[in-house]
Amino acid sequence: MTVEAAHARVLAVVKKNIADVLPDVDPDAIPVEARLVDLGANSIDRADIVVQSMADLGLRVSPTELGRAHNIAGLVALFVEQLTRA
Amino acid sequence: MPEAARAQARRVVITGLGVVSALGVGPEAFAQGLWSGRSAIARQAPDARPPLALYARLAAFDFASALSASTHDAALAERARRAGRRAPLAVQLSLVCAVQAWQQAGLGEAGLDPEACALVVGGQNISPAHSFQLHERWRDALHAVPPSHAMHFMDSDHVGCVSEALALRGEGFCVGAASASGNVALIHGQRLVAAGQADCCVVIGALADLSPLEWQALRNSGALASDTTYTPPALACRPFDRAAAGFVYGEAAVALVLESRDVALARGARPLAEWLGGALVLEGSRLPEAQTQGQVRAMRQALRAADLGPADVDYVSAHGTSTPGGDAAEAAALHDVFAGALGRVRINATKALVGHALYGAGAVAALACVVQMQAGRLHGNPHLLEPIDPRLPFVGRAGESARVRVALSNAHGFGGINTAIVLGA
Repeated sequence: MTVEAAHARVLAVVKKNIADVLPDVDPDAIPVEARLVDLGANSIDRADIVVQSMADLGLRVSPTELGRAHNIAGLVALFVEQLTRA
Repeated sequence: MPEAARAQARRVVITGLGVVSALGVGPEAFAQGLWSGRSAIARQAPDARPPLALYARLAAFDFASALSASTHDAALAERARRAGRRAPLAVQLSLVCAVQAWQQAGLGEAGLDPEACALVVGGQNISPAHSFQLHERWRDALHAVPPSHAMHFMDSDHVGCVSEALALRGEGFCVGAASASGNVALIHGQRLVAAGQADCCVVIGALADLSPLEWQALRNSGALASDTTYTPPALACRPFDRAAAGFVYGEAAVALVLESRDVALARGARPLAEWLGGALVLEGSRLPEAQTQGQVRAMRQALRAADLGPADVDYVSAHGTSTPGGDAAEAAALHDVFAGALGRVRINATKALVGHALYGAGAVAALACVVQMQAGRLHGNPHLLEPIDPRLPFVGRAGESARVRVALSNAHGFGGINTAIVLGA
């Protein structure tokens, strides 16, 4: 999978799960430089979005690795990195 | 209760009601359902969830709409919506009922200290259906179970969500007592208020959202009515009738607001009924079979707590599940307690109309007591054709007008848990 394709897929999955967990957020207007907490997600919401996204993408990322992502863009980049790894 | 404690106990009244049930949503619709005499029990499609051929099923429930209909306080509705938007169905029903009751009690504008407002949720193992569905979904991918399940699997999720929606900051907890949970929750809520540890207490009778496992166990135990050939099918639920052959489930959640009478009157609230007494006694038996002695003790103690005797009681809301053993034990208990006072008291069983709400049954009955006392009317026993004990003064099939000043309401749970509460107009 190319990095571009992976990026598109990851972004779509993360947006879908944000929309699922935070129905008041417009999925087409999510600023990726924002943090999930800025969109109104509490700690459990954030965990749900992350876990469900990993499940959808077939990824298992350690909490330590996940801690490297500081906003939505960072989360997407982390998942893309995992997906395109050999 | 020791004499000194009783002397200092504050009087407690009911100032708000909330209900989501198959018979109606909101106390007015519920009351209309009682007067209609038409049971909400109906035959269900084979693929129904829960997997029961016969039960009283809630009409299509939309959480956000139900909240908007429960209060004109948009901020309250929004807090409740946010608190419960991803919670299990039972939590959403608790929220809707709590908002209805809070609204009716006028507590949004009352300015009570939130730390003086308590919460007791009646029910244990409230949502096995939720866990069952999650297991079906995640059995082969357990690593991806939603983190939010860490909150939702516990009954205390109701305490968290309702207290967040209503800004309750006093004491809060769940009580588990099987089908007596509603009465036990009321008893404990009343104790908090009477002892001055809360000025008001929201009491919830939670929906029993069981999974196919529990329903099958109940079915295999012989407790469920299984004959769907009656016309109408609801006739299968016939408390105290010779042909009674098991209980029929009814989906329902209820909320009542208990409040210090002094606090309520001082803020200009109108009490709907007063708490006169209550009792909770164990049989000392883990079995599901109801026993007469424990039920007699519960009724006698509740009346003693109310400083009343059987001759003072106008109306009994029977537990009346339509199980032959349970009905027989309760009929014997009623006869024991009311011997010599059978001329005045009237008896009905609300489960014929609403079904058996399990955990919430006691709270459903308490709400029905208040509604009937307010209306000066008792609903009928529509499916009582041949009473197992014709000496007992059952209300007829159609209901009757009645001035009820004192009502006694029974609830009994598996494991020998017997309760009775006494309410006054």
